[in-house]
Amino acid sequence: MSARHDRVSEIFLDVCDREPGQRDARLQVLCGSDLALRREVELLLQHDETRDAGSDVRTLDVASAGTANTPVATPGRIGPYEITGTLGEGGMGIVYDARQPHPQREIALKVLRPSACSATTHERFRREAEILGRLAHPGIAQVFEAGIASTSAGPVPYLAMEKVAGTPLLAFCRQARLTLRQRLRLFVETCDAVHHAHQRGVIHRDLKPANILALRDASAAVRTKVLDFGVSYLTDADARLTISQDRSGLLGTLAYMAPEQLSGQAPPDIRLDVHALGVLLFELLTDAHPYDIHGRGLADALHILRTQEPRSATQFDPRLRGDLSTILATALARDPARRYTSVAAIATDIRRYLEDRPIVARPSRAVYLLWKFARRHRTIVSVATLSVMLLVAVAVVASLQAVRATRAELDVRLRTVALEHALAVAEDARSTAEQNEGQAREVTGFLKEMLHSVSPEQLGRGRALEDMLAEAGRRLASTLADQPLTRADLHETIASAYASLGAYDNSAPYSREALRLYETHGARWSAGWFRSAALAARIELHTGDIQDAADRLRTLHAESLRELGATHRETRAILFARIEAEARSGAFRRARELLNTVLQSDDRGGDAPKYLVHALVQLGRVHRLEKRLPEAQELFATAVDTARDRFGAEDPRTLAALRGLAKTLAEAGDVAVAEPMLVEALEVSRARHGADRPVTLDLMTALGEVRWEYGRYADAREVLTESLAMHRDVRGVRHWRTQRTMVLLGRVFRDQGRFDEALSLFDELLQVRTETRRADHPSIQRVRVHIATVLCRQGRLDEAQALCESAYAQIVAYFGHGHPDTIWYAKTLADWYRLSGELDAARDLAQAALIDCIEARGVERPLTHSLQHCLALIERDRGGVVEAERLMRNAFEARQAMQGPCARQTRASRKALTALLRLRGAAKDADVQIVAEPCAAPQSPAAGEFRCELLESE
Amino acid sequence: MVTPTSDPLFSESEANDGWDAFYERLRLIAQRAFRSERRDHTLQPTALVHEAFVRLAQHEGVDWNDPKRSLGIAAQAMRRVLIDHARRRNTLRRGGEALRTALRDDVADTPLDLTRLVALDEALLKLAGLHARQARVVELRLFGGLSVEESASVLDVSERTVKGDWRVAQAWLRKELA
Repeated sequence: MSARHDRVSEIFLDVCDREPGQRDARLQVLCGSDLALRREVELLLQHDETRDAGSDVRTLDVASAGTANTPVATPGRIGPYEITGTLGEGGMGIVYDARQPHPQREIALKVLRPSACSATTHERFRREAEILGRLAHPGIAQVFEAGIASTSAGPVPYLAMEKVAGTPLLAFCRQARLTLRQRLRLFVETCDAVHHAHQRGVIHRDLKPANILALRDASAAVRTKVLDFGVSYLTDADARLTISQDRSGLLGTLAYMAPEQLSGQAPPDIRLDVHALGVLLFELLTDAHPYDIHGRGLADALHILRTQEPRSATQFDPRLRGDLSTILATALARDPARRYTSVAAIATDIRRYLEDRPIVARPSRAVYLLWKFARRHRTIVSVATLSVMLLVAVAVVASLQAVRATRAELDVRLRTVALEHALAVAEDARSTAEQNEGQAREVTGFLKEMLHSVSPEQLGRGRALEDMLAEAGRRLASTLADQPLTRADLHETIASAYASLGAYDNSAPYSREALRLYETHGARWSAGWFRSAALAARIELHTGDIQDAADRLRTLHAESLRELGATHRETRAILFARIEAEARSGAFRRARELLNTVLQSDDRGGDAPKYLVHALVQLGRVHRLEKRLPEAQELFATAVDTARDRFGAEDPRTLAALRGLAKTLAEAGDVAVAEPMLVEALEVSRARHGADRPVTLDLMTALGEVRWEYGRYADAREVLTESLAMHRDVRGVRHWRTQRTMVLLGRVFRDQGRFDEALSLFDELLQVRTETRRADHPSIQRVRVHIATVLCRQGRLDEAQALCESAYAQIVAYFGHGHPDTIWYAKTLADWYRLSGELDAARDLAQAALIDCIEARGVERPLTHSLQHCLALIERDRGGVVEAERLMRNAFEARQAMQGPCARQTRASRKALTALLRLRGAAKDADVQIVAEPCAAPQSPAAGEFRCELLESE
Repeated sequence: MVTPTSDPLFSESEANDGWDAFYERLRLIAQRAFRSERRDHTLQPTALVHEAFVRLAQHEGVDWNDPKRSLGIAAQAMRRVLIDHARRRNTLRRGGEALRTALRDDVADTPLDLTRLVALDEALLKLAGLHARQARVVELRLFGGLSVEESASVLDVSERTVKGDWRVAQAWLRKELA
């Protein structure tokens, strides 16, 4: 509380309604000589808009606007219709009994409250009404006309509808004691009507028993009619809940809503109607609601609807076991992606059931097979074994399905799993089933098959998965003591799942334990052992000693070729892990050779296309790293074509190849093609796979990178900020893709002069990497150089130089001389020394690095050209213009030949060479061409920033 | 057309009356909040209400038939939901005409501009530090859609006090957000 504010308020209220003349005098009295106080009051008075409107006549009352309590007198006539009575009254309007003069007939006239349909929506109202008019189906109550009538109360929108004298479907079935098959036939009829509307683009969104009436036609046959189609459109989603119309109240509406509709993230979708019809079918078959909400309070019921799985229909009627149960489960699936995609599909399945043919719907394949398997082995496999494995399986499966689920739903799911587990263990205590390791391993093998069939592209919600894995790990620790190989398999599974999230520190103990278990129980050389060993090596690669990891993977590759054969899945996985290690340890040539063997292999069956595309993409990346941009471009283009051909244009693998192609094009200077390509791919991916899927995230980050490279910082920041937020949520901060996005966004911040934001990102990244990796790991040194570039821009030159020197020293200690990373850092440091005027130190360092580079890697390597470029500038500063020109010309020509005329590095060398030629004042004829810039140049950094730019971009 | 009879399944849920009243109230506030952004399909007003509803449901031990307690909590829940939504939309620009109009007296007819809500929320926090009751009055009336009378009842003060608080707070917030 502020006494000062109290005083200001008091004076303000005292004077606010006074005439201006009086007010001044009063203020003089109340404020006296305290001018600050008076100024404060006057400032408030300036912002007091109420004053002009008179005193307290206008009161605020939101609740009175358009609620059902507003009495409306029954009018005699609305538009051309004569009102004869009232049929009902609802939250969004009143339904009158009315008579139409031409043609003469009784109709139901739905009059919307003015508040439910404001003036701005009138146009839309007309348009939608026109669409509704086109719905002509015997199972849909026809809309004859929609219009806006002028009344004394202003314009009133109305709908003239077919008047249906029927009974709500459920009540009708009960009263008429219809059999199961009769009920199903009525349901199918209803589905046909709803499908008719869907085909014309109209979704009901408020299907419930109250809206589906049954009646007997002239021949006494039973027919159904769906009411209120499209009313939700006309009145908009927010006004559609017809709370007081049917006495079942709010819950009567909510009870038919799909979970995604209740959690508020649902765009209008056919699957909302599918779900509602599923609830209806459940009730038709069981006379109960799929969720246990009967007799509960609204809050309770809502909680159940939002969080629980629907009940099984078989608990009400054992006859429903089998197909009908499956149809219900598919229609009611909480995840819309697993639901029937059309109402026609439900109808088809029910017709098939009625004709005793097999139905199309199957439960989610993995879970379905899992349960089948579990049931088959129930007597053999110990319940504890099964439940632990189920926990792991469900953890993974649930997290896959949870990509669109809310956190709360996930937590509930997790608790459900834990509960099931507890029950199972309790049951196990009583069980006398023999514990048969062979059988248990069969189960494990099955589960692993299932889990490994899940591609990393499907992984989502990293943190939630981590939580569940931790839970699974804790439980695993205390069970299965007598089944070491099952334990080994499960440890390996958990380790893989952690690693896929970038949680290497959590993964390592599990993979070590798995290895130990395999080895001490005679399962060395098994597929599981190879997988664990490869995983351990990959963890080493990402967090520890890169050369050791590469050595280990080379050995493993040879062993797996010998033990498992070249086409075994594990051998292939190890091969790709090895290729990655070769590339990271600087052995690009070896990586290329290995990839070429994959491409030249005759094996084209089974999984081969997958590996082929993978190899093309990887090879493209190696070429891009080596700056052979035309070759990289060619490879990515082939990968795109192959993937499109084998998997389809919208497949994640095709989109990933496209991303590689776009990034290569951008680096080669063809941003005009690259950017729209990424934008389009991103749109496709969002629409086809969802905004939070890994493939979409990768495309977003790539788009940000391309925009940054071309100086479009604001656009880059926008897309990268969004991408990073999603990355944090979906993949977690330890995932390398998340970290890559952090680096890119940090650079954008830096280049926009937002140094604090840049530093805060880089500091966070440094901390995460320090926590999870060996202190001298190269990935940590990279971050320190990023930080140095920001410090440089801030003018903190000494700090920046110290960081670069320390990073260089660490890298030398880690890789030794001659490694490309070491050379890159040497070049960076040499640039730095040159900029600081320490030209001798700069030259010594750069020359030594150049010699290392040529010895280790040959003259055609891009790093050689970078060093030539670097040395040229050093020579120039030392006054050796002729030598500088020679070196720069070398760098420029080599880069132009290798990367193309407009590549980033080619442009940098061209620019520097041009400056050198001007400096010499003697541009020869041949040089004129060099001077002419042939490329659409991106926005270059401001002059003052250029020197810091050098630290990184060259 | 026949007005359908109720489904017997739900007719026993008598305890819902208080909730229904809330629901209706929240719905109107949400409707108002969304009138200004029809093209946004990421969150519908109904969904917003559901979210507020779910938050309300998490308050244990509240007698929903006691309007004093429950109206206040409803207003808080709505504020949180709207602000969260606005934050999610990442539209954090401050100031501007829309918010100032949102603070006019005839709130019922004026769209709440979500893009300004975050700024408003922050200003309200600041006001709460100066004068907690004035901030409460704004929360109840703006986010809870309560009338002067209802606000007075919730806060256990006279209607005159509520009107005074409301007027000072409005001027102060407009000044703050100008």
